[in-house]
Amino acid sequence: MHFINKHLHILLYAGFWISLGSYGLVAPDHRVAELGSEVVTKGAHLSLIALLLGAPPLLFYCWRMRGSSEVVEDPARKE
Amino acid sequence: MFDLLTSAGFDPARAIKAGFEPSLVLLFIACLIHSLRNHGRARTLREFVAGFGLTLLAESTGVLSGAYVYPGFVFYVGATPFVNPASWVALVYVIMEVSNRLVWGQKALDPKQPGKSLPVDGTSPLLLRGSLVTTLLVLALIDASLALCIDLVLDPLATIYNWWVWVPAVAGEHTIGPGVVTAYNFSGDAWLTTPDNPLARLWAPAFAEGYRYPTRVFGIPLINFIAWLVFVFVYAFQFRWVESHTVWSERKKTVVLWSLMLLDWPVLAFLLITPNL
Repeated sequence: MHFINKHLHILLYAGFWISLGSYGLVAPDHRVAELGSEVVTKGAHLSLIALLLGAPPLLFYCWRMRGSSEVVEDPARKE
Repeated sequence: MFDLLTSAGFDPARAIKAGFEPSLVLLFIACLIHSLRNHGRARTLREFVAGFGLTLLAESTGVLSGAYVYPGFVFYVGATPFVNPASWVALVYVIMEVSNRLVWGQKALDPKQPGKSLPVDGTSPLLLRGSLVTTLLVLALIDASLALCIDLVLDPLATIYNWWVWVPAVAGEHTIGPGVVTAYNFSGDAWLTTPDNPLARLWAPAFAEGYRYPTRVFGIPLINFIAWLVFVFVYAFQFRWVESHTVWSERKKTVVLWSLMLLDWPVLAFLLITPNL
């Protein structure tokens, strides 16, 4: 519970990206064609873009929060 | 993948369209409960009402000016689905906390309240050896960039799954008759009707040739992405600025933030709807 409360934001953020990426995988081709985009011609392209845009902040977050499961020292107490 | 699922009798487009609204309601509720637990009633009310109100007003202006429609939702506030502003404010709530942690790492965590960030004020580390304003600008820019990344994927999917539908950027097509937007019609084009109301007539001269927003990125009007970036940047900066005044009373913070949002709405609406990019 403590973990969820502390990291809820990134869990929701990751969940949002995973949803978007999976929606791209099952997108109907004729609907993707309606976008008229030269870059996005298949649903999987949107999944790839989701991976490229969503993964770096998630990995950076993990790196910044490494070891945060330990009790964070109260800076006020340090003083 | 789509063909495989449909041959098995499962229509993913229909399921994703139907699941969009309830999943965003859950996102909103999760963020609201988390904020109430970790930030208290006063800040939660201030933040969520400000974000919800600003987006609701801006979205309503966009819908009533004829830029797009939201077909097939259950709960609407005026012309806008409830989940649209609700999910926007929830997403920005998520993004601002993610930004804090990306920038400061574990230092961003308040040891007394695990889900809450330390307030950005004179006692928190400032960025780029700058002032508080510089720090807030950098944070707001990161917030807006993270939101833009989401929108770059979200909006094409919205068009694919009819979460919302933009007016086609082809002359005359947005004047086709009413009743042709069907929320669960994934078989063909969904043509729209520009509403005939004072707001639509106000912006009509900006689109004299019948073209609306002809520049597209991934099939979505460029101005949409600019609007997302600007809206999140402005909201995040103003919210963070208000919250940085730790000596202000909760009441004063609320009055200032809500007043800023009311000022933002007409300014941003005119700045972001008029350019026919």
